[in-house]
Amino acid sequence: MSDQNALPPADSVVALAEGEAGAGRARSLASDAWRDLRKNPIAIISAVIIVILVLMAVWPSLFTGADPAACDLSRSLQPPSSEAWFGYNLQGCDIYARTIYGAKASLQVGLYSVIGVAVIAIVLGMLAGYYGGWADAVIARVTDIVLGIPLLLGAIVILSSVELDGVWPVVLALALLGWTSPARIVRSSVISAKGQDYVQAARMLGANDKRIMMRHIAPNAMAPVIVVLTIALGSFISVEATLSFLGIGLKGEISWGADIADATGRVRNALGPVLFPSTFLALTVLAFIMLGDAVREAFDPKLR
Amino acid sequence: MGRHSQSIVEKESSPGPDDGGGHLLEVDDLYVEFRTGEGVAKVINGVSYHLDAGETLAVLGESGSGKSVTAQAIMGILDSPPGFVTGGRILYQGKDLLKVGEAERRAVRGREISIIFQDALSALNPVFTVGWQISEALRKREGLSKKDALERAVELMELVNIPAARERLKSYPHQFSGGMRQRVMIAMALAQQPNVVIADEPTTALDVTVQAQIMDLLGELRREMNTAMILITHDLGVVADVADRIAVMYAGRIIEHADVHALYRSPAHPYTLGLLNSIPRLDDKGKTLRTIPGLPPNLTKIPSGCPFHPRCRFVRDVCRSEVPPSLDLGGRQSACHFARELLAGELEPTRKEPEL
Amino acid sequence: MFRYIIRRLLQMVLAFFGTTLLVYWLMFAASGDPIAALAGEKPLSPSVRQALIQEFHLDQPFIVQYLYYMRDLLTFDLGVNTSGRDIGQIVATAWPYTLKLAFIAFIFVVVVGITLGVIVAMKRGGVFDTVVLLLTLIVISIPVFVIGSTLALFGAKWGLWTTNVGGSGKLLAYLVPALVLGSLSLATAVRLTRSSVGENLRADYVRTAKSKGLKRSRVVGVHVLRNSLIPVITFLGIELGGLMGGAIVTEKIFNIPGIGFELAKAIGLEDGPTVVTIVSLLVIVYLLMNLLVDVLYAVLDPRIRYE
Repeated sequence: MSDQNALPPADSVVALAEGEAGAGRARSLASDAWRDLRKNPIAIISAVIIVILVLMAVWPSLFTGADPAACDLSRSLQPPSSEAWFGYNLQGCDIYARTIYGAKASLQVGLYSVIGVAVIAIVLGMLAGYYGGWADAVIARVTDIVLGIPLLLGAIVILSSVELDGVWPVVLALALLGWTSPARIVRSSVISAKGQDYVQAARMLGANDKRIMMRHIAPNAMAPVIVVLTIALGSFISVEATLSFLGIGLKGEISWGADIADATGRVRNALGPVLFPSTFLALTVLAFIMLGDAVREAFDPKLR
Repeated sequence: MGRHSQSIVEKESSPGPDDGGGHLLEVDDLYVEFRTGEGVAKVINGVSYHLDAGETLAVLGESGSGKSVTAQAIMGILDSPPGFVTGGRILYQGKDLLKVGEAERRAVRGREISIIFQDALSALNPVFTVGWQISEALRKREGLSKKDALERAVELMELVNIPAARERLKSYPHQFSGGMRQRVMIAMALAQQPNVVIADEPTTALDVTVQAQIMDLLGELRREMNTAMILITHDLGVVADVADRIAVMYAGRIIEHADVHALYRSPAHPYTLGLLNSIPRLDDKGKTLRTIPGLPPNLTKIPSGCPFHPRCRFVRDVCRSEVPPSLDLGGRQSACHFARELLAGELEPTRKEPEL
Repeated sequence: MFRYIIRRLLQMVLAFFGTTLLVYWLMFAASGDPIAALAGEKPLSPSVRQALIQEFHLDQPFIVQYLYYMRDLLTFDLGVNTSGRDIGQIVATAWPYTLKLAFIAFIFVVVVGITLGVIVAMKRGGVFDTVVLLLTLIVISIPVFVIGSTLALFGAKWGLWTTNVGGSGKLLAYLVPALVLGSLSLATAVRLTRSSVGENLRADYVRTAKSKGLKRSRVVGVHVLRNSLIPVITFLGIELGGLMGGAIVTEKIFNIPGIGFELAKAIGLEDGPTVVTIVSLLVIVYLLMNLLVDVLYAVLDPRIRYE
């Protein structure tokens, strides 16, 4: 690298100094990353969007007094007015109210799936990375098998055999299919953390496996996992909407995907019923992906 | 290694460090900065040295002293940004390379001046065969046919003592050992028969035993082909047998410049003295090895006065306030306020030597 | 190289049986009544019911059912669906449409993605780079079905392009659907190419190539590109497999009677046999593409080849 000569450290003395730097690096990297994040406008905008979405999901009545289920065919496809800001859809439901209430299902699916994925990925990734050997081999083969199923197709199969209302079937499908790449990332971070001198030192001092994994490896392997999970949250919301659009996603919930499907399936000249839920959906996915990107950038100065 | 010490004796009296104009290559008062988010690092601060046909100049310094950056500036391969040449001249056969256009600059690269990098594994392209890489410039620049260029590549590989050269033409860099890879690198640098070869820490990445072989090879080839060489290194040990003159760099400056023998016999700068004292010697048995205390300066905040003063055993008040000029000591130079006293052995340390 | 491919082939065979077993199990065994899973809520005539039991060997143990099914699938005996139509026939009719769509989309992704990626990598940090990065981020964030629905809506409202492609043989009609299908891969390809080229531009071997006195066009066009394209081509290969599966949304929106369209229809009709068959076929295509990519990877990267 070119910078090698631009940066001061000397050959002889640097070897001594490196031991200290190694220990301080994780902490200062995290605080550097946090400082970078707070200054990054993209991170702030994404965070603000996510906070608003969470508010919508938790207290939808804060944003609208209208009832999303109170539909009246006589108002079908009325344009936006002071009464209904986004107008009415084909069934005469208030699009604004439906859009606000739709946030809940999307966020629930995203959050629960990511929690599920995180649990599977961290357990399998740490087992594979820390123990290696046959545990690693078996987990690698299982990963290959699940990776062989494209997410959307696999979810279609799972959902067409599960008969349940609500968000859980979708969460189950996404968690079962989505853990592979996070697990691989956990595995490789664990392997690289395991090689670090301080982990070797902890082991020589007699710390047991559980303690080494929890205290030494997990914290250091977390940053890339958090990044990939944040981005996964966004893409899970996107897949859920796609499944609902195809008619096999959420059942018995107000969902952006299903509303967009309804609006495109039958109406070909009204923009409102498609555009408003689409915009909210896109903004939600965008916010999570941008946040993940910003976190990644903050942790990886090379990308700047 | 005996034959190298011999070679220095054989050499027609080495030209003194400051023979005036007409040098093959001359770096004159060069300034380079690196502009980064953390500030401006003044990497090269008025470096001057020269090279005549057929001679070897060693440029010595710790990492970060600017020795490789100077070489990159000569080659015109400085990463820019962040690196910018902010002043000075680089004269090759009297022509300032910093003023000519890109096409003319390119004509010099490889054909007139070429470079051997430290880490051949990353310096060679991993996806092309070594035959392809050695012959590439011959095909693209010398107009050789593919067959002739490969034939020439075999000759070059034989020249650098790669066994079974013809069979290895189609091998990839990762299939060679470190030493063999460095030989490929050397063959590539010599392919266009340049007048000047810059060897940028050519042995640092290698095992100690292989280091000696590569240094031997370089010396031999240099003599055979009568190529001038700039040998960049941080290892005083490797230069003695190969170099005619040594320029010692510190914080982007040449702080001492002398004939090899003169420098080894009596260094005229406390930093050089420190470097020499830190080489383990057989006859020093029982004595403790001395290192230079402290770290090289942060190039965004170079100390006032003499940049070496925070680490210097002989520091005086004037060193903290005034930048020492380059003193001419008759055929050699030193940028120390007290170079004459040091040479005469009359300079008393002001600090206790730290012990390792 | 040979050993590498054999190893990957064995891994793929394992993944293939694992994956299809999983799909098969999810479809049939995971639900209590396999017949209900196959037929959904549709009432079945006793004769169809009997035919289904026979076809899927439902009177046999699960693993035997699966093996029978795989034998049939691999010999292209795809059986009949719940309304008695030959699934092989359905697939054979639908396949060309999807292939055409995926192929055009793939060309889009390769040509536009790589070109744009290289250009922005060279002008890293400039206005154009920032704009393209932002655009790709937006495209990645908007689900494909939203892009498709919106484009279909605009197309229909202002008569800009056909939104009902149907069985049209005209290549032109496929352009917008192909763009929709390829949009995500395109945006990802741009970003991947950009970062890959950017990384390689800083590599040490670039400096070596420059030191030889080569022209910048050759340094970038030969040395950098050859290295940068390794991850990009790997990605594109897997994407081609993925595009076929992704066609389900695009074909539904633009009414193209391809594989995805049939799959969406089968889902709507709760036609289990068709769903399992098509998904299994798509999984096979996907796995084959993965294998092809592994081989390609070894061809492109000598460090893998001689491992």
